[in-house]
Amino acid sequence: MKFCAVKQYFDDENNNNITSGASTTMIPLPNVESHPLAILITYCKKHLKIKANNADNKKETEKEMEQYEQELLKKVMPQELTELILAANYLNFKEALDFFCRAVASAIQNKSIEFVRKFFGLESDFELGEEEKLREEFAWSFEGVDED
Amino acid sequence: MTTESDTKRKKYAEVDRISNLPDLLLCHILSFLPTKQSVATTILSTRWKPLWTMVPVLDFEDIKRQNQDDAAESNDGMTFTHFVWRVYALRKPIHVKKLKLQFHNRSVVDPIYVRTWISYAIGHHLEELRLYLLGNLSQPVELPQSFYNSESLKVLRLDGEVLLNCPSFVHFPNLEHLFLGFGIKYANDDCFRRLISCSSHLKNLFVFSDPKDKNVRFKLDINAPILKYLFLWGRDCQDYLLENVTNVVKAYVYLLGLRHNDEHENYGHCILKLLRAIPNVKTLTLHFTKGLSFAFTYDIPKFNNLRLLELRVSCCEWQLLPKFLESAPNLENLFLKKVNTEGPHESCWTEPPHVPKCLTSHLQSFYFLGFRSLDHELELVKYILNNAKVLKTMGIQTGLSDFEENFLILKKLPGFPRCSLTCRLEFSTVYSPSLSLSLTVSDSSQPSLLLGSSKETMAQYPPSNRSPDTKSGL
Repeated sequence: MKFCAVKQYFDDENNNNITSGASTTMIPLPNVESHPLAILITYCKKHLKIKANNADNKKETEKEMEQYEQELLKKVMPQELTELILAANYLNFKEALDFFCRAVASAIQNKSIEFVRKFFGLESDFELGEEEKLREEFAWSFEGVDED
Repeated sequence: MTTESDTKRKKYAEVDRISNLPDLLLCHILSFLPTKQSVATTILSTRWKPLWTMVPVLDFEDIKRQNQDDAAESNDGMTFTHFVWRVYALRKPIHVKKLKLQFHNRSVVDPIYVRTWISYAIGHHLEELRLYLLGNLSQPVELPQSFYNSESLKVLRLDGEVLLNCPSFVHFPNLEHLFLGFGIKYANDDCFRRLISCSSHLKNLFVFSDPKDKNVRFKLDINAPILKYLFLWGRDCQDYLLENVTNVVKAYVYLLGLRHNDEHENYGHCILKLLRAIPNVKTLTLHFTKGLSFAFTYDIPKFNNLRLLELRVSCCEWQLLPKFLESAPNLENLFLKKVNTEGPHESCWTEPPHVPKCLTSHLQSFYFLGFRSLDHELELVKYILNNAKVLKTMGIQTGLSDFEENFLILKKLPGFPRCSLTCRLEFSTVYSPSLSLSLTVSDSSQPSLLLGSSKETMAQYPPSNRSPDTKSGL
């Protein structure tokens, strides 16, 4: 089971002997909104389906998964990614967590700091001159970024 | 619908959502960036200022500057080396889960520094080490002694100017993935054997050697009971001794007969011995460099689990094919990849005495790459079509771009009787990369190393842009 948090819930239930064999148990997930949860469930199902289809051929699995992931990223807006990351983290769903974090990382890879600020919706709250000092201290970091 | 998504977009744009994530998740995101970039996030805001120091990944790449001069070090501030030292000094003393160092071919970095950087990481619970030291180093980087007893190391990939000088006691209890690329130097004969034999958890092994490298002339013993994926490229086949590798599920073998240029028999004998060591293999790519016509006198081991077989051969040198068909009763996918030559051509196909079991009950696809409709090639295609009862796809690919030539080849094809009613004949002029078992390196962000100078490597094939009039599905 990929959603480790949910698995934990089932394990706990079995220990307490509350229900047995009930397939429509309601599991409270207070920290996850319905929209990201729906996406994660689809992601998980797709992942398992592709894996089952291509049990022998790892390369095919990777390729299909990549294709699916590209499609998914086109539909999901950048800001939604943070919700997905939080949801995946809460559910302890490692593959999805890594995937979405990697997606955020590649969105900001090699971009200028101004772009990243805009992308995240952040504002600089440094005191005057502090930012300049930091830029100087790590000058090598700021070379060679893409144009905005 | 548009208005709804518009308002949604507006709602998202106004709110800063990234700050909802806890520090740990932000660091997780940063761990997917090269360290150069993650350090740069320090100026995003006061909250972001210290985050890069808590990222458990160190990923350094010495980027080639546009006007870089070999002799002159940049005088206007920080260089790559300065930057790396800075990072090491300022980061929090937490684990280093992954260390990656990548130099370009004109990098000038002190190898002693590199050794220190690696030592630090090993001392901080390193799990993954990737070195691409293709630089202009004064001497190869010798890995620190502490490296050879790393309890936490799971993934090791070495390429370039690295010197392995194994002590007598080598212990990698958790090593699962070992990749030894081009240019690695071994201080003594025993080194490689020690590396392999003390990694009882080893699952994937890749060994590349440059066939022209005269320094590598000693035996490599591979004794790894849990090994699942074996990739051997480039050495003389007599350099290898495979023991206790019966769990190998996927293998790629491209070995040469360098030492005995005229003695094909020794080469063949050697290859067969290697094959006998991996009887449970499910996916096998075998790349011959010499014809093995004499091999009819030897028995190819039975491969009961073999589902996918790829044979890369030279023109007119695939005499072993019928033997393989006979010894792989459950074979489902067969690829024959041929490197073409001018000729003269001689037949290398003989029909097996009985129809092989895989043809009657299992073979679903057969792809012939480099097809030139030579007589014996047509015989093979005819035989397969005639006997493969469950064949779904017969793929013929020429790799030629000239329309005339392709048309001449295509003309000879249809009209062969087909045993399987569901069989589809595909003709294509270009090689489709997806069909190949090229090396799948798990970390796909790496630059793809040139796998030798062979033109056959799939990385160089054009993608499958089949023009409509040259493809026919008959």
